[in-house]
Amino acid sequence: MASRSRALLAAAGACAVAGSFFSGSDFVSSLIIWVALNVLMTASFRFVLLMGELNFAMAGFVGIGAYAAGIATTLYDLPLALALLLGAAAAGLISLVVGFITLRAKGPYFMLISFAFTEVLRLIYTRIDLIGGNSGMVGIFPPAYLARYYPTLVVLLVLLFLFILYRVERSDFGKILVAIRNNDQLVQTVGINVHLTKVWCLGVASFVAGVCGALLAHGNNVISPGDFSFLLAVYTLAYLKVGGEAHILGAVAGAIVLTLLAQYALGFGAYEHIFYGAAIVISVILLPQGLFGLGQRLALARRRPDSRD
Amino acid sequence: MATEVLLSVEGMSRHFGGLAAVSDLSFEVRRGEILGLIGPNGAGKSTTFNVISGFYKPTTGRLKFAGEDIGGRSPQQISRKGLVRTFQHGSLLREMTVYDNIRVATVSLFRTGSERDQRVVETAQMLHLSEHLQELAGNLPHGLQRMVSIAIAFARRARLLCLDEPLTGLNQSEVAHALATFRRIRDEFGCTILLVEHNMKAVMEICDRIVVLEHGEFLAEGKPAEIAQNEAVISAYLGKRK
Repeated sequence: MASRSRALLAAAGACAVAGSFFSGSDFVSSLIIWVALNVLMTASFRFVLLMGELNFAMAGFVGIGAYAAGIATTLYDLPLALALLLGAAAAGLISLVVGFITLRAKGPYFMLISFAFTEVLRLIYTRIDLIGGNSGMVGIFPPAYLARYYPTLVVLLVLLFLFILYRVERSDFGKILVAIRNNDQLVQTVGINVHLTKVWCLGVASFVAGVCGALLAHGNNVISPGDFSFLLAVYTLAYLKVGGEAHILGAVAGAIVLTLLAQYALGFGAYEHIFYGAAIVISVILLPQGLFGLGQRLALARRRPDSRD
Repeated sequence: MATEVLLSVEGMSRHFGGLAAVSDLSFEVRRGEILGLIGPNGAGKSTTFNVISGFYKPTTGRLKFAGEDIGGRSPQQISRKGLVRTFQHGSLLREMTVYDNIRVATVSLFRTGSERDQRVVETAQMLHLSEHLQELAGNLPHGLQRMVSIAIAFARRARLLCLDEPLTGLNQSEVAHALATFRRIRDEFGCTILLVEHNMKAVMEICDRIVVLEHGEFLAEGKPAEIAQNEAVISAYLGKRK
């Protein structure tokens, strides 16, 4: 990436951190948290898509992260940092086991399994009284001295994990993931264990999803099984389609734009979901490479003002 | 050295339900040779390749590579032992650059990025792909795509390269270039080559020995000149003389 766009990105990140620091009202604070977490969830979803799998279990792993962190904070009074780590580790470790069993399937089969996994987890939460059953857990607060800075903490952690995911994608491990999407048989012939690579990919993405869940639980203070239905993953798919799959910045752009627009769509009441459907349809027809692709084309046109394409 | 056996297939069969795609097949690949594996469509060449490279388990029989039993091992284990194959259709990562195509092949060989990078550059030079390293493999003309497939396999400096119809769709000059490349790979790097190919002229030209299959069974074996004269082979390809 050119140094100019790097500088621009750093400036945008700094603005996000500063903005979250000076967010005045509760509404703005929670909106910032919600936008930032949607960005990271979309990046997690996209990370599994690098190897060609649609991972609806992402929502399930966000749930595991949220409940594990919620338990750590409310039942055991553990410090926030430990709660976040536990949430992420629980999601990551469980995903390694789940991935080892389920990633023998691929394409539509894995998608359906991941969808079922998320819904089964949601039903399990409703049956456990210790974590509040159907009505969920309450009172998951960050420590009082941090409450004022919580949106900033969320934004900082989201930026950190975006950077990590970006670096992993650019590494040889990331290249192997894209290679598996392209031709998994060929990858086997160059001495790589495709199955284990896929399991690790899911593990990394789910660790990040667990971080999202833990941050979400402490941001909302309340979690319930309904928060972690497969719809959460469907929304991230919409963000990704609108933002563009080709680059992690597409996930960022899509999640920011759609989450902010969705605040307006809340006024539609029951018709809210039409908004997401319409966003996907419109972007697929008008912006096949999403907002990121549009930005790329504009940048290219500016660099070569005389070109006609 | 020329007679040392690198791969031996002994009494190998592979059945799919009631169908015997390959039955009781035995042959040897000797170190440093280019061995052609030919036969009419449906003779079992691809199944043989899939068993040798670990994609199918043999129903019966033994496979020994460099003295080690490899029957039933996984494709990546076999590849790490130095037996690398290409595929007839699409031995290529279409959405990735030529550089990344070759780079992926080097990951399990080297620990450091600079070693991997060096191997990519050397391989690209050898196969005349250096100018195309930053292009997307899927955008290249067909002939170059074939070369990228071979580059991926060759980047591993395999002891045995199994090429599945590498000349399909190439024009005459591309075929000549590919054959010259195979010879250089063999002569300069000591790779042994097992070649499945339908282009008979090319097979006769480049192979040291040829094994012929028909209906999943061994039909004949010999030098190209002997195979060209073999009555059984001629009737398998052209039908019996009336």
